[in-house]
This record gives sequence, structure tokens and C-alpha cells, in this order.
Amino acid sequence: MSSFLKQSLRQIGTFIVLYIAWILFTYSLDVQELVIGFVVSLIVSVFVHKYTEFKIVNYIFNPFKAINFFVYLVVLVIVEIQSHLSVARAIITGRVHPAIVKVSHRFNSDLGRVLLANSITFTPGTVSVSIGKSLYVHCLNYEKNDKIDALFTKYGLRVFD
Amino acid sequence: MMSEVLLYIASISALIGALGLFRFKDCYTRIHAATMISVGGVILALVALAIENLGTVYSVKIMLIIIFFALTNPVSSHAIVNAAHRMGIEPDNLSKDDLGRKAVKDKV
Repeated sequence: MSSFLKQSLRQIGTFIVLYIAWILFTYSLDVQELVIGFVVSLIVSVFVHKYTEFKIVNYIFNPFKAINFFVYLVVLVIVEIQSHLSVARAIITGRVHPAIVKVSHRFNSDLGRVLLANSITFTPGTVSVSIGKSLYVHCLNYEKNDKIDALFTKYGLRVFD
Repeated sequence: MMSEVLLYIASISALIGALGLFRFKDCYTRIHAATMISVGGVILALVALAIENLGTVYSVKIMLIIIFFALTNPVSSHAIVNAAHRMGIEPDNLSKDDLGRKAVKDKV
């Protein structure tokens, strides 16, 4: 019984998030839009509520975590600019040293792993090939003893554990 | 002014990424060029549009699009590369390979 209650709470939470996203997207309070959004988010929430992760709420409403997340975004943008320049140089000169490197991370939660793998794939020059207990990353330009995840792990551990 | 500069940077980086798709020879290195188009090209162009429409409804919508794009784009890149690796496509001239054929067989 309690698992049923938990399931329905998850579904209602998913539905509310989807409905808010719909209203922000259409940005109107027409009856037509509201009804269509209600039906669509109800149907979608039935299918996806198994996979939603509500632990993120604990992080969003914690001001220290929110500030750390903002710092993380700034670091991500800086790394992004650097890697764009290096990949552009590799494309123009045509010199690449590809490698598949194992990255053993220190994140325990799924959210942290998703953050790390997404950030690594988001920067050009590194793509995560296989995700599990440890991460396997394909690098475009690998030099010996390069730590790919050093900055992401350092600042990411302050946000998610 | 700011948005125009960002649009120019976005189009240059999309151009370089498209060049990379032709210059690189295997799918693992090509996906790096594709990431360069989608991040440097699309997201910078969207940011430029958001700055151009600052304070209107459209900037809110564009910011939502940026968030969804940033969440889903790495997932699709990862899915392509992972599928290629599972199909057995070998990466060209690796200088180091921690994830060899044997390791994959053990894992799956």
C-alpha cells in the first residue's frame, strides 16, 4: 500500500513539473492550451514517472549547493572555451592523438555520475564511451598523465556526492 | 552588438565543425566535430537570440530550449558512440586503449 502511495506521489510530482514546463513553453493561459497541456502531461507522466529523480529537490533548495552549482557552471563554460579552441586547432592542423582512457570517479549517487558523464560529453574533445562503475572516455588529443575529469570532479563533488 | 558578435562566433565554430566532419576519418573522432557544431554553434546562437530578445516572452522560451538541449545533446552523442563500440567498430590509431575488445566481452 505504501509503495502504491509512493508511486502515485511520484506520478503527481512528475505531472506538476511537466505541466509547469508546458505553461512556460506556451506562455499563455488559454483554456485550449491548458486542457491540451493537462492531457499530454498526464499521459507522459504515466510512462516516465518510474525514471524521475526527485532527490534533485534537496540540492536546488539548499543555498550553498545552489551557489556551488553556479560555480560549477562557470568552470564548465571556461573548460568549454578551452576545449573548443583546442579542437578547432586539431581540425585545422589535422594532428590528433586519440585514446580511450579509464576514469575512476568518486561519485556515489546517480546524479553525480550523470553530471560528470554529461559534462565530459558536453565538452568537445572528450566523449564518454561506456558508463558503469568507472567511466571510459574517448579523447581526441591525449597526452600522458592527462587528468580529464580533474576540474569536474573537484567542483562537482561540492554539489552532488 | 553583443548578440551579433556571439552569432559570428557561433557560425565560425559551426563552419570549423563541419570541416572537421570531412577531415576526420573514423566515427569516434567525427563525433568530436559534431559536438563542436551542436555546442559552439547551436547553443551560442540561441544565447545570442536570447540576448537580442531580452525581457520578452521569447527569451524565457529560448532559455528553456537551451536547458533541454544541454541536457539531451550529450545523451545522444553518448548513445551513438556506445552503439558504435558495441557493434565492434574499431577506433583508428589509438595511443592508449583501456577499453579493449576483451574488456567489453567480459563486461557484456
